[in-house]
Amino acid sequence: MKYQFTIIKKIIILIMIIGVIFIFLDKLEKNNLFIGLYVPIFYFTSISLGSLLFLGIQNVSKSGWSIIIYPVMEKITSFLPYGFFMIFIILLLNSMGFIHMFHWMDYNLYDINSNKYDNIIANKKLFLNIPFFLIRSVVYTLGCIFFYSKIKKLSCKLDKTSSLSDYKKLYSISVIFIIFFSFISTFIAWDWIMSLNPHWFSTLFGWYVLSSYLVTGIGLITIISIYLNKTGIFPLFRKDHLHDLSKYLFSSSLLWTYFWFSQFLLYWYGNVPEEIYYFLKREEIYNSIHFWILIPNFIIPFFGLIKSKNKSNPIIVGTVSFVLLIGHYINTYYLIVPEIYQERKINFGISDLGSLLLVGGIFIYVLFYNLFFNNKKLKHHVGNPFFKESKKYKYPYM
Amino acid sequence: MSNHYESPIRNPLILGKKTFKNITNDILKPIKNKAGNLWWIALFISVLAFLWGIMCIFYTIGTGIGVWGLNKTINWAWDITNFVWWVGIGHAGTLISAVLLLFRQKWRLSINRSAEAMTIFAVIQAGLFPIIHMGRPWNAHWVLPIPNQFGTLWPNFNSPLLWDVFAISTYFSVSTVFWFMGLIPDFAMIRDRISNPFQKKIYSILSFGWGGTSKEWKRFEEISLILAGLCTPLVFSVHTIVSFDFSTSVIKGWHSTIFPPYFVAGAIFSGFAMVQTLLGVARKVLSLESYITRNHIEYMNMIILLTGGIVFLAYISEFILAWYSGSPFEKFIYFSKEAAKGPFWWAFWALIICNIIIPQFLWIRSIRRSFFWSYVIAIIINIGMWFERFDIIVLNLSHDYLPSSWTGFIPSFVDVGIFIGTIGLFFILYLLYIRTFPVISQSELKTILKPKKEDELNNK
Repeated sequence: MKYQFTIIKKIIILIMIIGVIFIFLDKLEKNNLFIGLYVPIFYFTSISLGSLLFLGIQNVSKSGWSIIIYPVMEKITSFLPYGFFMIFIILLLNSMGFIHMFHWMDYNLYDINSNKYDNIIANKKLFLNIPFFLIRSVVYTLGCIFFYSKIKKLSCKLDKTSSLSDYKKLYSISVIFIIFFSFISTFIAWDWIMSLNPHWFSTLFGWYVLSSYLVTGIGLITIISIYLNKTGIFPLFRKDHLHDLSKYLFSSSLLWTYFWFSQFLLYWYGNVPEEIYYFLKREEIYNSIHFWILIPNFIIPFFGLIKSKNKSNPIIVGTVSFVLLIGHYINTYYLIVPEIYQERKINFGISDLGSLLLVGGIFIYVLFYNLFFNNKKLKHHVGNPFFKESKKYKYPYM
Repeated sequence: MSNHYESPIRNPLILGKKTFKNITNDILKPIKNKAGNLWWIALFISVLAFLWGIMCIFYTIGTGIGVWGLNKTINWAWDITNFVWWVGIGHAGTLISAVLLLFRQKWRLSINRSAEAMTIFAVIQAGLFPIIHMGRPWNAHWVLPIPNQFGTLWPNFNSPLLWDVFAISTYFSVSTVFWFMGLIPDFAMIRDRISNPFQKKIYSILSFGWGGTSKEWKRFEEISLILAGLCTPLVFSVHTIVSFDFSTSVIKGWHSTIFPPYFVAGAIFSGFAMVQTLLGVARKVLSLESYITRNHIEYMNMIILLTGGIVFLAYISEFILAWYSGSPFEKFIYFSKEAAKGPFWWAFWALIICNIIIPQFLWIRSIRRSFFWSYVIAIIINIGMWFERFDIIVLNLSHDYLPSSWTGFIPSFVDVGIFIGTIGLFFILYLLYIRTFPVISQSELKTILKPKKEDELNNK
C-alpha cells in the first residue's frame, strides 16, 4: 500500500508543477494572475467549508447514520486553514495596493474632487473600507479555524472518554458553530465575491453561495468515501450510507437550483437595468454560461439520482458528484471572473487551468497527506454515542 | 427494519409503557365517547365567530369591496395579509409529514395527522380571501385557463397571482391525498372497532375496504414515499410563489431576491407555532399526554428556533442591503429605519418583538421544554408572523413612489369580521375533526412502539 501512496504523492507534485508552468505560459500581468488564482483558492476553501458545515449539521441534528463518515469530513476540512491563509494573502495584497481586484479599493472613488468619484460607492464607505474589510476577513478566518479545531479536538477527546458530558460539549460547540457560520457565510459572500462589483447587489446572494459550499462539500465527501471504500480502508461505509449521502447530494443540488432560480427570476421579472446587467454580461460576453451551468448542477444530478437504485450505485453517484464539482467550479469561476476581467474579456484560459491544477494539487496533497501519507489509519469516532447506530445503520426501504 | 439499532441515549417517543391495544383504545376514545362540555363550548364560540364572518362576507359581496378599509394607495391590506398568514400556517403539516418522513424523524408520528389536518383547514381559509377580494366571486373560475367561450380571455400567465392559483390548488389537492392516504388504515381500525352500524358504514366507506394484508401495506409504504417526494417540492413552491406576489407586485421595481427562501422559512416558522397552539389544546382535551410529550414540544421548538433564525438572517440581509444599495426607494420599505419611526411604528415593532426577540427565549432549555411557555411563545409568534405580512404589504404600499398619494390604513369592522370568521371556521373544522378522525396515526405509531424487551421475555 505504501508504494502506491508515494506514487500518488509524485503525481500530485507533478500536477502542481504543470500548473505552475501553465500559469507562466500565459504571461499574464500580476492582476490577472491573482484573479486566476483567487478562483480555485476560493473554490477549494468553499469545499472545506461545506464539509465543515455538513459535519456541524450532522452534530446538531444528532444524526445517527453519518458518524462513520465523520473522519472523511474532518480530513476534507483540514484544508481550511491553508485556504483561508491563501485568501487572506490575496486580500492583503489587494489592500496594500500591490494588486487591484476590488474596484472599491480605489481611494479616488471616495474623493469628491476626483473625476473618478462615485457617489454610490462613496455612500457605502461605512461597510466597504479596507480596515473594516480586513477585520471582517480575520473574524471569518479565525472563527472558522477555531470551531474546526475545537470540534476536531472534542471528537478526539470523546473517542477516549466516551463520556456523555463530552458529547454534550461537542453538541453545544456545533450549535454555536452553526449560528456563527450562518451569519458569516452571508458576509463572506458579500465581502469576498459580491463586493467585487460594488454596484450590484442581491439579498439572496449569501445563501446562493452558501448552497454551493454545501453541494461541493457533500460531493467531495461522497467521492472520497467511495474511493476509500474501494481501497479497502473504509469497510464500514456501505450502500446504506451511500444512499443517504446521495440524497443529501440530490437535495443540496436542488437547493442550489432553487436559489439560482429565485435570484434569476426576480431580476428577470423586475428588468431593472442596474440589476440585469449582471446577467447580461454573463450572457453576452460569456456565452450564456449562466444557463449552461444548470446542466451539470441541476439536470445531471436530478435525473442521475432521482431513482432510488441509482442512489446506492457508487459509479453513478461518484460520477454525478464529480460532475457537480466541475459544475460548481464553473459557477464559482463565473461568479468572480466576469466582475474583474475588465480588459481581458476571454473565457477560461490556460493560466486558469494552471491555477486550478496548482491549487487543486495543494488541496489534494493536504487531503491525502491527512488520509495516508502520515500512515495513520482512518480513525473512527467510536466514542460518539451514535457510533453503533451508524455502524449498524440500514436504509429501511432498500 | 429487523436489525435497526437505536442508541440508548435517544429519548423514548411514547411514554407510559403502552401496548398496541392501549394505543388503539386511546385513539378510539374521543370517537366512541360523548363530547365533553368544553368541546361544546368551544364549538359554540367558533360557530358564533363563523356566523359573524359569513355575515361580513355577504355584506362585502352584496355591497362591494368599498366596505373594507382599503384605499387607492393601499390596495392590498388586511385580506392579503390574512391570506398569506393562513397559507403560511398551512405549511407545517406537509413539512412534518413529508420532509420529516424523508429525514426519518420518528417523532413526527404523534403529531403529523393533526398537523396535516391543520394544513388542509388553513389552506381552505386562505383560499377564501383572494376569492372574495375579486369583488365578483361568482366569476372566480375565470382565473383558471378555461376556453374563451366561457366568457373571458385567458388569464395572464405572466402574473404571479395566477401562479398562486396553480400552486395553492396543487398544494391543497396533494396534501389532501397524502393526508387521506395515511388515514385509510386508521379508518379501517375504527370500522372494525365501532359498534354503531351507521358509523360503521361511514368508516367502511372511508377505509376503502382496507384489509391490512401485507400486499396492501407494501403499496401503502411505497405510495407514502412517492407522495412525500411529491409534497416536498410543494412545501417550497407554494410560499415561493406567494413571495413572488410580494416581491414582484407590491411595489413596482422592488424585488428583494431573498424573499422566496425567506418566505418558506417564515411559513414553516408560523406553521409550527400554530401546531404548538393546537396540539397544546388537543393534548389536554383528548388526554394524549403519553403521545405528545415534552420531547415533541422541544423538537418542534427547535424547528421554530431554526426557521426563526433563518427569518432573522433574512431580515438582517434585507436591512443591510437596503442600506448598501444606496437607493432612496429602499428607505421606506417595511424593514428600514424609516419604517421603525414612521406612522406604522407599532406594526414594525410588533414584528421585531414577536418574531425576533421573544422566540430567542426558546434557547433556554427549561422554557423550550415547558408546555406553558412554549404555548405562550407560539401564540406570540403567530401574532408576529401576521404582522410580518401586514408590514410587507401595508408599510410598503403606504410609501410608494408618489409622495402625494402616501396614506394610512385603518381596517373596517368588515375586515376584522371576516378574519374572525375564518378563525371560527378553522376551529369548527378542527373541532369536528378531533371528534371523528383518528387524531394520531396509530398504525404508524405502533411501528415505533418498542416491543417487550427481549430480556423481559427471557426472564419469563
